[in-house]
Amino acid sequence: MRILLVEDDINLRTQLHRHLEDSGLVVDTAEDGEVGLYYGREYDYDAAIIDLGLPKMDGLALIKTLRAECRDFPMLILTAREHWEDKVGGLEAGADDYLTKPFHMEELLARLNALIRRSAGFASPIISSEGLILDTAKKEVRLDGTLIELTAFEYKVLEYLMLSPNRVISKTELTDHLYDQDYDRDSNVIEVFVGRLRKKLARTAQPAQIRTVRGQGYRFVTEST
Amino acid sequence: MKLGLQKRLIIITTLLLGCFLGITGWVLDRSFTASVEAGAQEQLRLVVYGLMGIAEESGSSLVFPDVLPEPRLSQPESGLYAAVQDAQGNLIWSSPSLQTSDTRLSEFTQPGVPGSFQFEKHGQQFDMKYSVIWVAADESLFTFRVMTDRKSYRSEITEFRKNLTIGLVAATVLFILGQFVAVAWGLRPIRSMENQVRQLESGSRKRLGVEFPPELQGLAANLDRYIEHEENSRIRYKMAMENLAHSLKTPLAVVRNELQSEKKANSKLIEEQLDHMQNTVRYQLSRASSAQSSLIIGSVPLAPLIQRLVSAISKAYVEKRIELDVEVQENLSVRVNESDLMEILGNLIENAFKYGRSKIRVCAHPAKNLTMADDLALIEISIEDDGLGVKSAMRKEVLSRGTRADTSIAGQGIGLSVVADLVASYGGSVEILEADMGGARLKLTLPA
Repeated sequence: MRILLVEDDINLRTQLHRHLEDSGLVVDTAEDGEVGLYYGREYDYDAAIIDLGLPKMDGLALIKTLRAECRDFPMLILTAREHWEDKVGGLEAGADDYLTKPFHMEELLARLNALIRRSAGFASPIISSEGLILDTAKKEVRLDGTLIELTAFEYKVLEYLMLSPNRVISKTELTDHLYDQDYDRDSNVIEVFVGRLRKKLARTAQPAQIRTVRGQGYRFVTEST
Repeated sequence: MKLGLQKRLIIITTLLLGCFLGITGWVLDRSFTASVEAGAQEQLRLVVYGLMGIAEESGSSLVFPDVLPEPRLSQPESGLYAAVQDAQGNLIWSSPSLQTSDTRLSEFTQPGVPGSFQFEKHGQQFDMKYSVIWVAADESLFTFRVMTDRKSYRSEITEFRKNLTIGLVAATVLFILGQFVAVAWGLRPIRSMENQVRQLESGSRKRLGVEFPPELQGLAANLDRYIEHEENSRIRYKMAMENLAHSLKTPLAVVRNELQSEKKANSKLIEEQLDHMQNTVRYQLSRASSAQSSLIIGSVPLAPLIQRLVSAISKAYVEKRIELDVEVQENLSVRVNESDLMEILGNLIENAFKYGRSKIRVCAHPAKNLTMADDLALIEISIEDDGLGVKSAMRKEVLSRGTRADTSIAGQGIGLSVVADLVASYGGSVEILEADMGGARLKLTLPA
């Protein structure tokens, strides 16, 4: 999952960056509204965390501009302003949630996850398909009731695929959303990870749920198709 | 209650007008009566001279011809009578009119100073006496008396008084009407200022206009300056508060998160202290900015504001799929600063979303107040959810938490105590009750 973080305080920015990465997210950071706008226009994010009091371009203006340009990824306002006037203003400008500083990191992560899930169309933190259960809150995967041990990256791949079921997802999209920019795009690491994931989720007498679409990418197939 | 300006002006001018017209009437009446009397005296004097001109001596007495200089003296009941008396008061001669009339000569006391007229008013008559020493009649002293009925003079005076009264009453009525017009016109700038101040209060106007007469211009300008100054200092204060909030909250967030990432033995204590600091900052800042609310409180329409809040908050809680029931009467409004009202209702509605399981009900209607007057009308707002509710033992504490920083409980919200403070500052009230649907019911009253 690729996240845009727009925050002007350097300490909080670095700290958040670290924590978000630790929880398995890919993070782009911007220190002011203009940089934030640039990133928001250029890249496709799964969610954004935006401070309201930003230099050069106010957070509200940033949200409004991005929404006006049909950037529809979920946005969470993270700010010290806790007046309801500001909260309502932010939500009306197009933000999806609001968290005031100081905050608990767990809460921020929980809300961010919920936003990502919600924008993918899942109301519950638990996504299931044919006995395969993905708990986005606990970051756990169970197959027919048994806990499956996955590495952090394997989990990220599975989560990304399961959040967009039955859609063909290219390798480029996967790398964009799951890897930092400095990743070597030519390597076939994705293929290796998808292969290992398939092996761990394999069940006898059932077709694999992660299908390869030749020349295009991967698709997570659910029972309905 | 002090007497109004209009009443004062009308009372004082009416009093002055009464005095003025009364004195005018009295003076006019007096001078007219005096001039009528003077005219009568003059006429009587002429008759005296006429009689003296035709009197002829006969020894030591006087005789008069039959033809008299004033024909009325010869007519019976003509109202003009004459007589001549000697020094002892014996009647020497009387006019035919006197002889044929019931009118009697008033009693003769004694002759006056010779050569001078003496004028008396007796009941129905004016009486002019003139004593003279007649040299050709053995230097005897005679007193000529001429009398006339006062009746005709009286009716003249009565007629005059009637006209005078009609004139004065008409003048009074005109003056009073004119005075109402003058007062209304004179006080119109004050009325217009009053209206504008009311508009300021209701928020439909930002400043007083400039179209005031010079006497009020200064006041209006001062008022405008005061409002502007008050607004500016409020904005400055709010900005300072926001800046303070920013510069405190971001480092607090950093410290807290840093602490969590590397758990140490004493990190729990530090975390508690951080919570404490955080609540203090939040509570005191929200109190400070709410204490700075404007002098002029307009009324805020309730329904649209609740609608905005509900739709904004439900966006953040969309996945709870809360069933909403908003029953707010149209055209209700409350006299609370708009941002404070948002603070109050935002906190309460968000709590309902947070703690409710599947249902929220928000309703508002005018409170039934039996004892209070209309200008103290209250609006009652209820916010209910179907969550776990608040235990009755906890209800008081939840509302007062944070009033002293050292009583705050780590990690607990202080939203409700901020709400309670804000509501109290507007003379309203907030209570936690049990909702029909099972959870908490926050009952709020605010001035309408």
